[in-house]
Amino acid sequence: MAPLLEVRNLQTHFHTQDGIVKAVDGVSFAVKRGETLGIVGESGCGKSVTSLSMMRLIPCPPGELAGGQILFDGADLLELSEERMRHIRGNRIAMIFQDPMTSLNPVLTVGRQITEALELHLQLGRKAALARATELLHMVGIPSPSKRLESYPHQFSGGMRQRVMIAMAISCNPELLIADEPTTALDVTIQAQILELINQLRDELQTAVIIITHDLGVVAGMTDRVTVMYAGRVVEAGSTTEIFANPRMPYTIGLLRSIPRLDEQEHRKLTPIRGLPPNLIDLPAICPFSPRCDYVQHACLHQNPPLRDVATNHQAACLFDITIDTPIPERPPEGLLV
Amino acid sequence: MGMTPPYLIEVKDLTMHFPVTRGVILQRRVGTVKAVDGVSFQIKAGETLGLVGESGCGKSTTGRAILQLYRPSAGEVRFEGVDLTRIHGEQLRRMRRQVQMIFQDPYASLNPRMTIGDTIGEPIRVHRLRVGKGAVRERVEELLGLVGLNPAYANRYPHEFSGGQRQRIGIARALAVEPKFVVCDEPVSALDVSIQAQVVNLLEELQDKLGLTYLFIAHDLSVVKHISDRVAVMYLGKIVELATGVKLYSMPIHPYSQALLSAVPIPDPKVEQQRRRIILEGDVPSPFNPPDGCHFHTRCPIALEQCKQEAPPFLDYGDGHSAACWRANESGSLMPEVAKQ
Repeated sequence: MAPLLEVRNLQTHFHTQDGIVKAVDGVSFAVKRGETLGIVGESGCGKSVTSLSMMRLIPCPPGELAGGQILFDGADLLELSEERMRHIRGNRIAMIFQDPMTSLNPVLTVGRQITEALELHLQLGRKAALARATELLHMVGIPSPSKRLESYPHQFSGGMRQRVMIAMAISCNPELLIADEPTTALDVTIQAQILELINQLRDELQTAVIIITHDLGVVAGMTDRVTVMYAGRVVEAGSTTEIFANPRMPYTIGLLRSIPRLDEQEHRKLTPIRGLPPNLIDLPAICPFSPRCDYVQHACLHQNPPLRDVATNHQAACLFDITIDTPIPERPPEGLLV
Repeated sequence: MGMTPPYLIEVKDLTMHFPVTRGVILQRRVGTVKAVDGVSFQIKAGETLGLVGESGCGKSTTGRAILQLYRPSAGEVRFEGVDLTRIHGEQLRRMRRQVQMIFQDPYASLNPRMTIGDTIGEPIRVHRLRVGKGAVRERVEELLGLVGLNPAYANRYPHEFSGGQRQRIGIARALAVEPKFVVCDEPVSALDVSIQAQVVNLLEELQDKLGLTYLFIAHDLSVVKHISDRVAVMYLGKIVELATGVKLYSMPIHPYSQALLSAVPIPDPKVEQQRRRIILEGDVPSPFNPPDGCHFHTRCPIALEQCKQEAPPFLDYGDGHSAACWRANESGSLMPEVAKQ
């Protein structure tokens, strides 16, 4: 089956006073119907810019979709007119934004915000749209939905607002749902409710889901495949089970070693990743993770390693065959300052 | 000579109520938010007690009320036997040297107009721990080294630092007065995953080196369990369960703790496939008008009639593992059944 969405070599740049920020620098991935893909990374790795690029929501200028293709059901979204894109956005591709506090319009009732998309995309009449909106709020588990349609966003709690966002996102039965940190602002018990809801929708409607998150626990529980991003690039990709069992990029290995696990029986000292992510302006042509990498070699400073196959269905951007069992060398190789 | 009290910190029936008023000129009191509603625990010297719970459960307010940043409505907070709620003025100010706080937001908790050297040096000057510019300077540089920052950074301003570095500065400021007890209020929540581990390790190292006692407040159960000797779970202003981290994880008693623990994702797909989540219905009720009886009964899948009427007592079920639940003896077998359905 051909993937529903295929991103090929996407380049999203921002022109700033200090130079060009290559926020997304040659990112590729694909997602099929009924499948959940996780995009993992820390602040500034380009994961949110990737999702906004897919929706063509990057403000230009200062942003620029500088290259690549975003093939959705065969058509390149980057080639579409704004008019055509508007028919897809919110209709066939929908997005759940990170912050439920700022993503809803405070001066419109929740009902109005949900029915807007229904009237626009599905050409429903006022009454039919309201009926469907009620049904949607019921689906996402908001009590007394027809009454709540008349409420304003401030009258909802954070978890309830996130549900409203989900109701809006699924209102037109999208084929692709992009969830950008959908539960970061929420408490864990509410997070469990929301993730359960997204899973149900995927199973019932065969929606393709992309979850963007920094939380490796959420990725482990929700996704079929994972793409790890660092400094605007994909540094590791593969099936979720494979990546967690056999991570091959030192950055992914570092992330897994640095988080405490609830189920560990004994106190294990965490192994942090030292240093900070790089500045994305004028990145030199070296491995962007090399200044923080425990396994750095001279060769890492000669090129930015390309993504290569390290196992079936598993790619990593590392020149060496490092695994989670590779002992950390006591000192860096001769002549390398770390 | 008095005996050394067994605990460094003893909190007894701590209560923090905030009045809710209406009207601008003629203010009427229309109700009370019971942010902390009768909380008791003890912390031994050198121990870390973790305090977890969801937004609005009163965990931060508990931390602040212990430090007397809010004066509690009722209850006792004993530090080395002295009840902090009963002392005032100069006496309280002197005690404040012993009890310090590390704040959540490293962006908001540092004064952007002060160099970090001045920020860290201020408490040293105020409490006259070092006298003379040179001596204060020397101490500031020593503290910067202690938290893993370059001592030469003392002349820089907060905006020149990353989130993780700022949190180190906040830690250096708290340690400047050589406290015995530190309340860490969500100290790593604002940081990226790879940086969180750096700060968690630093807090552990400092504890070993300086013999510090921590109250570690956070909503991330994995981090709290990792750093704490014992963990207290709060819900709507009350502690519902208290146990060692491993015990709490392996055999939680309170239905809320069980649901909370089951909701925390574990970064391992194989483990995640096996787990069953207890999904709670609805949201946390408002502390302005908490439910009668057990505060959790509105969301509890195994609540009885009794739970709606009477608040359960907080009892020890062996080895200091305490909980407040009427069905404490059977909840361990009942809740997994709920998860299966």
